[in-house]
Amino acid sequence: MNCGDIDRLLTEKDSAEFPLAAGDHLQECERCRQLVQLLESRQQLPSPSGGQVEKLAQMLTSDLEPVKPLPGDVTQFGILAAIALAALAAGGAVLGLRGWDALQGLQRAGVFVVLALMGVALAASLTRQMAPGSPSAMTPAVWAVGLGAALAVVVLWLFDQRAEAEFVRVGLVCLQTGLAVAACTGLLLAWALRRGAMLSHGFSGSTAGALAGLTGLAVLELQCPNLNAAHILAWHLPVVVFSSLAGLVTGLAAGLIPAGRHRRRGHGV
Amino acid sequence: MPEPQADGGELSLEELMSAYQQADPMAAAELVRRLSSPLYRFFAAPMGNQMEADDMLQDMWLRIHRLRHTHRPGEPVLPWVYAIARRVRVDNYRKRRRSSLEVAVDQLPELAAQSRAPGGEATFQELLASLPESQREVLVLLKQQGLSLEDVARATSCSVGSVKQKVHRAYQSLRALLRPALPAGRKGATP
Repeated sequence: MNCGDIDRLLTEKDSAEFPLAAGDHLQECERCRQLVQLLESRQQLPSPSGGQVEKLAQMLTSDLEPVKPLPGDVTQFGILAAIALAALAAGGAVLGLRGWDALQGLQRAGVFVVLALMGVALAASLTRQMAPGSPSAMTPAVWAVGLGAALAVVVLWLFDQRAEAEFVRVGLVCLQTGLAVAACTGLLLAWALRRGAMLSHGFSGSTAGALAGLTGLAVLELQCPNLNAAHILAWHLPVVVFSSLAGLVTGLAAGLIPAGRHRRRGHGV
Repeated sequence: MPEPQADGGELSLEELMSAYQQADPMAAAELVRRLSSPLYRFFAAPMGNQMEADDMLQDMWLRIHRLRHTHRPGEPVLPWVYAIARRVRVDNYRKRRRSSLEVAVDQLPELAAQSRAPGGEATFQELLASLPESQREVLVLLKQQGLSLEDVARATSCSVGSVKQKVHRAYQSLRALLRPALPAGRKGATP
């Protein structure tokens, strides 16, 4: 047994539960013995006074009302997924399915499988962010890099590039359409998330914005028959980027609102 | 009112939390009694200021009360509590920084001075204060607050592997800090 083994034991057990071999090492190794003694000497810490604890208990029980706990993970995930799917269905119904009709089988599968996977990941992340102490949510770096890279690769792989006469004018129409869908979806998501206790307003805002933007992007893929890879990369994908940024700013702004106004029913810790 | 368990044991924190959500005053009071001391130590650990720990403890219970609906039934209570506690501590730090409250150096280690071992040896708290925040936090939660690795990972929103890595680094840092105290020729057996 060596110092590394003692580290592992310290991490996973109390010193009282150490095996005999650990005792042998501790007799030989002064540094490990000191470390174990140091970690055991932690009891010399203060506690709140009995009066303070009773005062806190009275404070809590003075206006106690029953509350309805957040729905379970699966239900909450289902609510968020249903919002995104409803927005997608409404967008397709209103704006048409010319894009879907123009796509070939492999393009359909490639684009919509990636969008669905990222949507599932973002909705799962949001579900976890709503309740503090949930298993770790996907980090912003992972979803930002993952989403962008996966979609860009799929588009470059499955779609051709060509020059367009009205690249900017046509593209701006798509961008506006995608952002409008994302904004509507974002409002619905904000309603669904209102009871959650977000520990990081910016992170939660950007995650919700990304999910809304992803819905906007999916509606564009249903609606827009332009299969030029440059058009998709330049005007469809930025819907997710702008939505995430808008969500980030909105989340940070919501975090600045003092407790007692919007936080009475959740929203922020 | 929470009923005692059939075997006469205490109700678990999860059962108390569930009763608290149903507006049981006895459960709420019992939660305050069981959790206030460890939370107080969590707040006092990094800077040893009792007055700030008092304020943070009160703020903590206000937040727990406001957010009690966000604890999902069946989920462990401690990661939920400490995830909120971390936020309270961060907010307190930001508030302190905003108000540019300068604390005199000789007033800061109030608790550390109280717990200093006879003979002038460095205590856990003093050595803890010299660790980077990320290492100190997981060490406090794991060794001082007694959370499991999984609960620390949930409370700090990171993976179990990441927690293990931070704790391992914290042990290495502590060994390095302890090393000068060793007499010459009495170094560790195996690195």
